[in-house]
Amino acid sequence: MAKKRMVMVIDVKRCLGCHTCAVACKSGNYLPNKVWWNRILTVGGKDMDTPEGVFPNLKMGFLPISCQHCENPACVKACPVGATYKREDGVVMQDYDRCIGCQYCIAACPYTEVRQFNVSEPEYYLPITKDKIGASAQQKGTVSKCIFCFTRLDDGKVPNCMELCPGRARYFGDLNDPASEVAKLLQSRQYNQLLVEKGTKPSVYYLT
Amino acid sequence: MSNPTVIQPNIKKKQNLRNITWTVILCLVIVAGIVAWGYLTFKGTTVTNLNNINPWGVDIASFMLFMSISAGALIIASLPGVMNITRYQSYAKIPAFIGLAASIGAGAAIFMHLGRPERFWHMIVYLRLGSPMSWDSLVIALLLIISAIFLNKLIKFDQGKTSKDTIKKLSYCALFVGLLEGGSSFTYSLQASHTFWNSPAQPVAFIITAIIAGTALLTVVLLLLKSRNYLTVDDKLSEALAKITGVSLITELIFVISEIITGAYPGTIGGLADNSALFTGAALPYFRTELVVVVAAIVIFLTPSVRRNSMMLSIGGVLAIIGVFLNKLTMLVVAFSAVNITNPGAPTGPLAITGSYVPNIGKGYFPSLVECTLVLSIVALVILLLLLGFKYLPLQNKETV
Repeated sequence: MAKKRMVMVIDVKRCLGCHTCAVACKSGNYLPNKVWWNRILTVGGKDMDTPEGVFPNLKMGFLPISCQHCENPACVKACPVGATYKREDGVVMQDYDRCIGCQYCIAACPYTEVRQFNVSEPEYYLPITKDKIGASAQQKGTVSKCIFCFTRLDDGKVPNCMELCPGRARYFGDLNDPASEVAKLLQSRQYNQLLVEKGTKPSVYYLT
Repeated sequence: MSNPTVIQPNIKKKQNLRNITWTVILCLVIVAGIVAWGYLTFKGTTVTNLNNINPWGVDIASFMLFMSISAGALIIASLPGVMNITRYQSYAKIPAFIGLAASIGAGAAIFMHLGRPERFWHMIVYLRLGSPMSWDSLVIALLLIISAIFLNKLIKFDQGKTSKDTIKKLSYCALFVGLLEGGSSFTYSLQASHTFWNSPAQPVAFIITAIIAGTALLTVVLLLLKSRNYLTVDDKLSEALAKITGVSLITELIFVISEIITGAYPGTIGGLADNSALFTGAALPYFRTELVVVVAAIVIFLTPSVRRNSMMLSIGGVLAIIGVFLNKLTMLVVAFSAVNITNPGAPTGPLAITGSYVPNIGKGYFPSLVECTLVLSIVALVILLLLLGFKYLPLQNKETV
C-alpha cells in the first residue's frame, strides 16, 4: 500500500477573507499572543484587507498561508538537531523539546513568516495554563509552525482551520488515495502551488 | 632583521600599566556583555531587533567574522610550513594563536545567538550530519582543535622539541582546515530560499574574506607587537601581508560587483529585489559603508608610500576587518529583506503591534543596544585572549627571544 501523503487544498475563489481559520488555528492550538500559524494574506491591496484597483473597479483577493508541509522540506534538511522532521504521512513536525532556537529553519524556509520564533515566555490574552495545553505547549526560545493539527488527524478529524471555515474553502486528505476528495479536486480543477521554483514541492494546493 | 631591543625599565613599567588599563577596560566590556546576555536570556529576544523576517543579525555577522579571522589566520600560519619558508616559520605561532582566539570568539557568538543555549549539547547528541549548520559547527570545532594543536607544536618546535617534519604535516592539516571555511558558506549558499545567498561562488568568496580578515588582523597585531618591542618584523613580511590583503580586498570587491550585475542583468524578481535592498532598502547603510571602508583599505594596502607607514597600515587592517564584518552583515540583511511573499497580512512576533495590522515587510534591521553590547563583548573577549596569550605564552620569535 502506498504511503499516505496528506495535503491541503484551498479554493481561493471560496475564501471570504474572514480570518476565521486563522482564529480557529490560534485557539485550537493554544497559540500565544503574536503567534499566528495560519494567516490570511491580502492579494492586490497595499494593506491588509484592502482591495486591488481604483473605485468602482475594485477586486478583493486572499491567500491563506501557513506551513506548506513540503515533500522536500528545506527546514527539515536545515535543522541541525532533527527538531524539525517529517512524519510518515508527510506532515512536517516541530519538536519543541529538541529545538535549540538557532532559527536556521526560519532562514531556510522560503515561505515568509510561516515559521515563528517564540521570543519570550508564551503569554495569552485568555487564562490558558500549560496543563490545559499539554505536550504541544509553546516554549520560549524555540520555533513553532502549523502542524496540520496532527492530534486531530490521529483522531480521524480534519485540521481546525478546515473544520471552522465558513466558506468551506479548505479540503484535506491523502493525495496518494485516488478516491480522496483532494485527489479528485486536483484532477478536475486548475491549481497553483507557492514558490515551486524553490524545489520544496509544497503540499498545499490553491485551486484557481 | 634588526637586533633584539633592550627594553628600559621605565618603558616596561609604562607598558605594564597600559596593559593593566586595557585588561580592566576589556573585562568591563565583557562583564557588560555577560549582563546583556543574562538580560537577553531572561527577557527573550524581545530585547533585540530580530524578528520572524530578520532572524539573524549582528550576532551571526560577528560569528561569520570570527570564523573568517580564524580560518584566514590558520591559512597564513600554515604557509611557512607548506611553502618551506623557514625564515618565517617562527612567526607562524602568532597567526595560529589568533586563529585559536578567534575560533573561541566564533563559538561564543553562536552560543549567544541560540534561543535555548542550555540545549547546546543537543548539537552533539542529536547532531544531524545532513544539515549545513552541522558542517559549520564541525568546522568551528576543527578550527579550535587544529589551531590549539598547531600552536602547541609550533611552540615546541621553537624549543627544539618537535621535528620539522611534524610541523610540515601539521601545516598541511592547518591549511586544509582553514580552507574548510569555504564549506562553511554552504550554511547560506545551499538555501534556495534566498537568491542572494544561493550562488556556487560563495565558498570562494568565503575563503577570500577569510584571507582578508586573517591577514588584516595579523598585520595589526604584528605592528602592535613590534611597537612594544615584543618581536621584530621585517619590512618584507609587512609588505607581503599588505599585498595579500590588498589583492584579496580587490577580489572581494569584484565578487560584490559581480553579484550586483548578476542580480540586475537577467531582471529576475529575486535578483532585482536583492539589488533594491542593496541600493535603496534595508541594506543600504551597511553596503554603502562596506564599499567606503573596502576602497579605503585597498588604497592603503596597495599604495607603497602609504602602507610603509605603520599607523596607516594599522588603520587599513582595522578597516579591512570592519569591511568583512559589513560584508557578512549585508549578506544577511539583503537576504532577509528581499522576502519571497510580500502580500500584507497579520504581523507576527515582535512585528505585531496590538490593535493595528500593518504589512510586515520593508522594516529593515538595525541592531538593538543589547545586540551591540553582546557583539562588543565578544570582540573584547578575543582581544583579551590575545593580550593574555602574548603575555603568558612563549609566542616571541626566536631572534627576539
